[in-house]
Amino acid sequence: MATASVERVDGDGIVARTAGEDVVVDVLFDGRRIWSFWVLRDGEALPGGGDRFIPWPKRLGKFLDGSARVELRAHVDDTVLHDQEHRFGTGEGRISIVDAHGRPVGIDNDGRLQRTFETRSEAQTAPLLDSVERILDALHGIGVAAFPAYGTLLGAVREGRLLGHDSDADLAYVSRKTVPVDVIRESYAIERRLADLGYRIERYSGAGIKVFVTESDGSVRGLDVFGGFYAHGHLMVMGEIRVPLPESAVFPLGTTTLEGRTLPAPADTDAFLTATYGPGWRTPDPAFVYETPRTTYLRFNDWFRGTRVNRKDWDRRYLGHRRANPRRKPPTLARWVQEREPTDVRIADIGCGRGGAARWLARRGYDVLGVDYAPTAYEFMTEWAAQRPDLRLRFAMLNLLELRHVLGWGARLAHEPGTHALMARHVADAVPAAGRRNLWRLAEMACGPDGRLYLEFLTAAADDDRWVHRHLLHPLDPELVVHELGERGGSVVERTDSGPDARGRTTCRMVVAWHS
Amino acid sequence: MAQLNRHNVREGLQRFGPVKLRIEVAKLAKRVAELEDEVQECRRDQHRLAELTDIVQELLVPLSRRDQAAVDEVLAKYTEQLG
Repeated sequence: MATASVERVDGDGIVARTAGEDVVVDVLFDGRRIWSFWVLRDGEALPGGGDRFIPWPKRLGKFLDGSARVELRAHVDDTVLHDQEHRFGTGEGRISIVDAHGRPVGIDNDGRLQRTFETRSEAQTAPLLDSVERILDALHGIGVAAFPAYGTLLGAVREGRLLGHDSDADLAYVSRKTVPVDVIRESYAIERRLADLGYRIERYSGAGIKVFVTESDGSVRGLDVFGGFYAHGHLMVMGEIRVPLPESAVFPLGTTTLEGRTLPAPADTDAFLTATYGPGWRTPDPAFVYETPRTTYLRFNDWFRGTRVNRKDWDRRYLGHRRANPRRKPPTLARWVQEREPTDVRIADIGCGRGGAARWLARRGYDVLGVDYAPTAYEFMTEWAAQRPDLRLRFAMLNLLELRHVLGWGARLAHEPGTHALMARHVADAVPAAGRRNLWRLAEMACGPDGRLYLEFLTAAADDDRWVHRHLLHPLDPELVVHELGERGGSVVERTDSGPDARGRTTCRMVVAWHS
Repeated sequence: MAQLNRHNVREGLQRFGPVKLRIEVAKLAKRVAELEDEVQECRRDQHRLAELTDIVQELLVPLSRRDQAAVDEVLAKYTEQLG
C-alpha cells in the first residue's frame, strides 16, 4: 500500500512526500472535504529530497483568511496524514468555503468551485435524479438508447450512488451510425425531437447537447448528453473516449442502480468504465484528470467542434447582467441606420448582445429582430419586449459559426415581406474568419437587391487596449472586408474611416448593398 | 583536386551523410505536417456537410410539393428550434 506523509501546511500550500507510488489525498476543512490532489502528479519537487510542494488551488485562495481545522487523509485507505488547527492570513473567524448563496462548495476535478454531491442531502439530489430519469425516458422514447456516463456511471457501478466529489450528471448514447456526418445529422434530429417535446436544448458540438429541465422547485438544470459512435473497431464518445472496444460492450444495454433507481447502462460496464477511466476505475480517485491523446481530441475537434469559439467568455460576461436593463444611449451605427432607412424597413441586429441598440430602433418605429449566439445576453430584453406588445421587437439565437443557422435564418428573412437592413456592430472583428464569411452569406441572403448591411468594425487598436481585449476584438483590414463582400456580390455604397480616437482606436463604418 | 576513390567517397559519405539525412528528416517532418493539415481539412467537411444535408433535407419535401405554407412553417420551426 502506498503511503504518504505531510511535512507542512501553510498559506501557500502543502508540503508532502510519498514512499513509492503516487497517493491521492483529501483535504478537509473543519471536517468537510473541499479538495483532493495527487502528491506526485500535482506536486512540484522541492530541492534536496523527496518533498513535494502542492500549492492551494487558485479558486480556494480567496477563502484562506481565518482559522480551520485542516485534515489531510489518504483517500483510498482513509489514513489521517495531518490533523491540526491552522490560521491563514489575518482573518479572525472560521473559514467558510461557500458560494454566493452561502451553500458549501468544493473544488471538483476540473479545478472549479462546485456544489459537489457530498455537500447535498438526499432531498437535494432527488430532483437531479428525477431529471436524469426524465431525460433518459425522453431519449428512449425517441429511439435513442442513452445511459448514464462518465462520473454518473462510475458512481452507479462502483458505489450505487452519485460520487461525492462529482457535481453534475452526464448522459451518453452510442449511435448506430458510423460516419461523423451521419452522427451529426442524427444529433440534429434528436435536438428537434426533444424540442418538439418541449425541452430547451443548447448545442455544444456536432454530437453533444445540453438538455434543460425545470425541476420541482422551479430551478432549471442542464444535463449533458454526449453522442458516441463506432468506427473502425473503435468506440468514440464525446468528449474523451476513443478506444478499441467491441460493440458487445455497449449493446444490448443492461441496467445499473443509482441511488436505488434502476437505469440503463452499457452491456459490459467493466469494459466501458475501463475505456473511460482506465483499468484502475475501481480505485476511487477524486482528483482524476483525463489525459486524452492528441489524436483523439484532434479528431473530435475537427469532426464536431469549433462552433462555440469565445462563447464561455461571453456567457460569463452576460451572466452578471442578465437581469439588468442595458444602457439607453444608442451606438453611432444605430443612428446611421435611423438616418438612412425609412421605418418600413425591417432591421436585424446581428450579434445584438444585450439588445440596447435593437430596442432603441424599435422605439423609433422599426420592426427589429435581435440575434446573438449567447441567449443569456438578451434575456432581460426578451422579457422587457414581451411586456410591450406595441413594439415590434423580438430576439432569437443565431450562431454565425453554424452554417445551418445562417442558411435557415437567411432563407427566413429573405422570405419575410419588405426590405431588410442588417446591422452588425463589432461582429466581423469579433468572430473567426468562418463566422465572418457566414455573416456576408447571411447578409447576401437576407438583404436581396433592396436591402443594406450596416457594418462597424475596428481597423486598428493599441496592443494593450483592455477594452479591445475584453470584447475579444481583432482589428480587421477594411480592404479585406471590401474584397470578401465583393466576392459575394456586395459593394460598399458608403464608408467612413474614423480615428484614431483618444485611445488609439480606428474604426470603419460601411453601408453595403447587393445589386442583382 | 583530390582523386575520387573508395576511401574519400566513404569519408565524404561519413561527413555529409548525416547532413543529407537531416535534410531528409526535415523534409519529411514538413510533409507530415502538411498531411496532418490536409487530414484535418477533410475531417472538418463532415460538420459542414451534415449542416447542409440537414437543412436541405428538411426543406426539400415541402419545396418539391410546391407547398409554400409548409416551406414557411419548416423554416420558422427550423430556426426557432436551433439551440
